[in-house]
Amino acid sequence: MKVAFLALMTTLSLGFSAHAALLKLTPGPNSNNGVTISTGGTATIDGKDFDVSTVGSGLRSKKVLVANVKVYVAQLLVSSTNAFVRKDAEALKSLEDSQTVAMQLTFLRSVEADKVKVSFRDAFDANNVDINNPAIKQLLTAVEKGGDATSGGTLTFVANKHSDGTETLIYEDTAGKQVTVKGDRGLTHDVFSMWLGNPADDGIAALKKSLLQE
Amino acid sequence: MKQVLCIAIFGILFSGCGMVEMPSKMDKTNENMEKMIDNMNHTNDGIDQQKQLIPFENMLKPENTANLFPIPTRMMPYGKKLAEAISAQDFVELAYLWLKEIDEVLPAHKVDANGNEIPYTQDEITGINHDKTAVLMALQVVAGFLPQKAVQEMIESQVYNSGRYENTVYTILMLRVQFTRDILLDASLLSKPLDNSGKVAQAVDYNKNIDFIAKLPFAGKIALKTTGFIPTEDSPVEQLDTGVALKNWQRIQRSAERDCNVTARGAEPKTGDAAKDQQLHQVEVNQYNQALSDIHTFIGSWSR
Repeated sequence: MKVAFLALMTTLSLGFSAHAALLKLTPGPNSNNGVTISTGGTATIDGKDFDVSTVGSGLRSKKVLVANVKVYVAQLLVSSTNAFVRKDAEALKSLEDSQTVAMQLTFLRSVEADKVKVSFRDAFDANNVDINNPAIKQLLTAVEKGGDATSGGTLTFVANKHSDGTETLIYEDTAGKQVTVKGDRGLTHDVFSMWLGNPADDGIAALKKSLLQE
Repeated sequence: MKQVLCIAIFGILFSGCGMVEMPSKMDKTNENMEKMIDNMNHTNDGIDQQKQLIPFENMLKPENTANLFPIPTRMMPYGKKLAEAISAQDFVELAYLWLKEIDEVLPAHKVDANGNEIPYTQDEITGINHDKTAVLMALQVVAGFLPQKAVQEMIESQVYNSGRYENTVYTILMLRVQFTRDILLDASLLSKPLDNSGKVAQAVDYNKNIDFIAKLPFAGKIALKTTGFIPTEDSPVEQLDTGVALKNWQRIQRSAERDCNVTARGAEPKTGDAAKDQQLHQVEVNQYNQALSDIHTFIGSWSR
């Protein structure tokens, strides 16, 4: 009985560790549409912890006819806050000076997986990012296979730069499943261009403006 | 022989009497026919009116306007029916009236014991704005689904011939672009991969409507400007961005080329009859090629 109990506990703890959150946020005093905005957090990559600080947050809405439909609340975190430039044309490039960069999207409504994929693809197109690049392709496949972005759920992107110039992106879907994408220098720039690059639509433009506010 | 002769004489007399009466009978028949046609016309008018009235009444029923966001799904089937049934002139007049209602009509304020008006409560303001939104969306739905022929008719009568409702037509054209862009394309077809030829062809058809409006010589006048919401700054306003047509063509092209693999689709069994499947595949290939050819032509038209 004791052995069975121990085995069960071991299985449970292993299960939990396999689903350990990619990004643990430290809640701050503010909220946006019911989502608590963090002050920072810890990203766990290959068993190592990396501290990141929240530098911006905002609402992603989509204009439909006469209304702005709320889609998700985004939080941007970087490891070097001083290096982050809050200027429209420079913010994306300034991410190069942070070893670790993270974006967490908390969905305010459910969005089907292929819709999420198409909206990301539109954002890449707006920034001339080659969607046939193996790393981007792998990310889009993970987004599609990750299932619907459910209301209240989060999609998390954590990018980390390595000394050899390569970059790793870890994507976590709303079910907590993580996919690691290895890429060349510039992967972080390409992926984060979805929010800090050329906006694919007015809703992203408004979100970018919020992310860059102090 | 005598018997035969008698029959013949009776026959001639009988038919002769008939010939004498024929003109008056014909008149009577014609008269009856005219009455019948007149009655049928009345019936057809009635049917036409019914075709308009039923969707008109249903579109703005509270149960169909309760949930308008993100898409006014319950309003759309009735709006489509109304768009198919209403004449261009009737819709222009309806749009004029409803836009006026949005801008100028407000419920009476409650008054206090001294007869002073009490400002609207937040709930009342929410209700007022919701009702105005519903009316505006109803117009967007109908404008979006109007047959192209009706659109051309209203441009001809109101814009080219300086009609009474010229400005209303500019607004209707903006509403048509908004509905086609936001609902039929963005929130529907283009929100997912265009993975078969029918979806590609439908996206092309919808964007042709936007393209037509974006290329009108008076495109600069096409806009929506409302003022009646509370506060006024929340009133929907939009100027036509003619660039949306080309942007959509490029999006449709990208999605069609990436997601619609007609060759792979041709290898998938459909009916179980290989010969029929081959025919259906050829139809899909032709539809896809035609759609892509249209896209290329329209994209090219924007670079001239």
